[in-house]
Amino acid sequence: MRPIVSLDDVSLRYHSVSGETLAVSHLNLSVDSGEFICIVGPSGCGKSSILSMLAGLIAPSEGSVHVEGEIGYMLQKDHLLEWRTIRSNALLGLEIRNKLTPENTAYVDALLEQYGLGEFKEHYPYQLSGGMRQRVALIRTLAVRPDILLLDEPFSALDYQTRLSVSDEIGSIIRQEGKTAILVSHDISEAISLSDRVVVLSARPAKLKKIYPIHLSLEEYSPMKAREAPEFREYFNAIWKELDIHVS
Amino acid sequence: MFHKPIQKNISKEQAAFLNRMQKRKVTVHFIQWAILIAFFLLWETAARLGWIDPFIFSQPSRMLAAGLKMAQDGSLWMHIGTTLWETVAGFLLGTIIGTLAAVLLWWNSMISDIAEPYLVVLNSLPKTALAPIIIVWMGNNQGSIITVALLTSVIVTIMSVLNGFLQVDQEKIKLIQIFGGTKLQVLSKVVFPANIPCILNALKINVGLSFVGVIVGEFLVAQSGLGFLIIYVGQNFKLDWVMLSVVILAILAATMYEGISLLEKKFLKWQM
Repeated sequence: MRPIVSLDDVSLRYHSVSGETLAVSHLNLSVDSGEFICIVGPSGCGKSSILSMLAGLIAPSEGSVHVEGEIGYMLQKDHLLEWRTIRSNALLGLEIRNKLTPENTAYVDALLEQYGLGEFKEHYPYQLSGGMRQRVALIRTLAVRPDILLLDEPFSALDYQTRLSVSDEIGSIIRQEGKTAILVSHDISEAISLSDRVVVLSARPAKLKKIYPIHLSLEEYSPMKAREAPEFREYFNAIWKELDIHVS
Repeated sequence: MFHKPIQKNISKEQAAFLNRMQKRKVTVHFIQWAILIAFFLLWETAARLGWIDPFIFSQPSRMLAAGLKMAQDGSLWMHIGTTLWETVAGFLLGTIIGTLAAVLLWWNSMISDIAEPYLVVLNSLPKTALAPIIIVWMGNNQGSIITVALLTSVIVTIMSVLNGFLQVDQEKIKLIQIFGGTKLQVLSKVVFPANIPCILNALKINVGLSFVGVIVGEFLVAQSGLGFLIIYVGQNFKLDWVMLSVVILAILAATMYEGISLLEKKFLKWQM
């Protein structure tokens, strides 16, 4: 099968008046259709830069990026526009792409209903909880029917309990909708519980350190249950070691 | 539109608390009005008892008489109308032109960088100093008064609105770009709507600034308007008319300010 996303020998440099920074160095990575992969690495290592390149927001300095299909991108915070209602926020992407067809708006309405936001359509963002807002952000991303979802630590702004349930929920929704997903995280448990493969990056400049395929023996998969699988701890320890985080 | 839930069964403490807050509000309003009324009463008494010279300080009853007389011959309404029209034109133009200029500077950071020192200097320059120049250039007419009013507010509007534009969360701009949005869409979907509170706030400040410009302009050239009235009757030592004009100006300014506050409430129902 041809990969849906591939990075070939990609490097990225940032330029500023104070100097040049190498953010990503000779990175190779490919993702198959329907796969859920998670990129972990020390904070500031250039994970977000990789997503920005995949989304076409910045071009790599060297190497090439191939993406086959429509990209959907979820940012760290929900960034709902406060002056728009929930429904109007969910329709933002379609509106920008000039695709507000009756068919597409019906799809968004259906998603809102399906994920428990039906009665909040005409509410404003400040009236919703953090978890609900994040769900709206996901629906806004799904509205344009992307083939590939890029998730940039989309749960990091939530408190721990909400975070667990939202990552469980959103992980399940993405699987249910059959999307390919690339999640960036610094939370090892989250990475293991959600993904098929965990990609470990080095500190800046981001280089590929190791890829862990995740196989958990579970009768029925859900991100929450994954945390109880017997292999979970082994993966955790291995990735923790690989990340080589020094607390000093 | 969403309505905040109204609690129906409130506890005794909550009821007592609400009661206290209500009482406090009533007291504040009462004292505010009492100060105003006491001020005018004291003024009137002082004038009647000869503590102050009513020829120099005027007195409320004489102001009222002057006002009634002018209201009857219609000149009062003409002067108010002139000043009101010039002021509204001044602050609306100042806000609109200022916002458009801010859009241009936001759009092109090069122009913004070039313009910066000029804006800073123009901002600190007292705009009323330009009034005589404008009048020489544009002539003895209403257009120059409105231009002076506009000049008093336009620079500060550019600076505060541009500042608001630049403070918009970069991630929200990224959100639009992720969906393939153009710069125009970044402006229309995020940067501009996010700054409607900022623009309304500029409008509020511009009401006061525009009045300054109009009154100074009317001092210099007008044939009608409250500024003209103040200068004209002031020269004849008719202090009743001068004081009356000042009181009317205060009422006009307060009314416009309140009007914009109402507009704010209508537009900003999405705020907490």
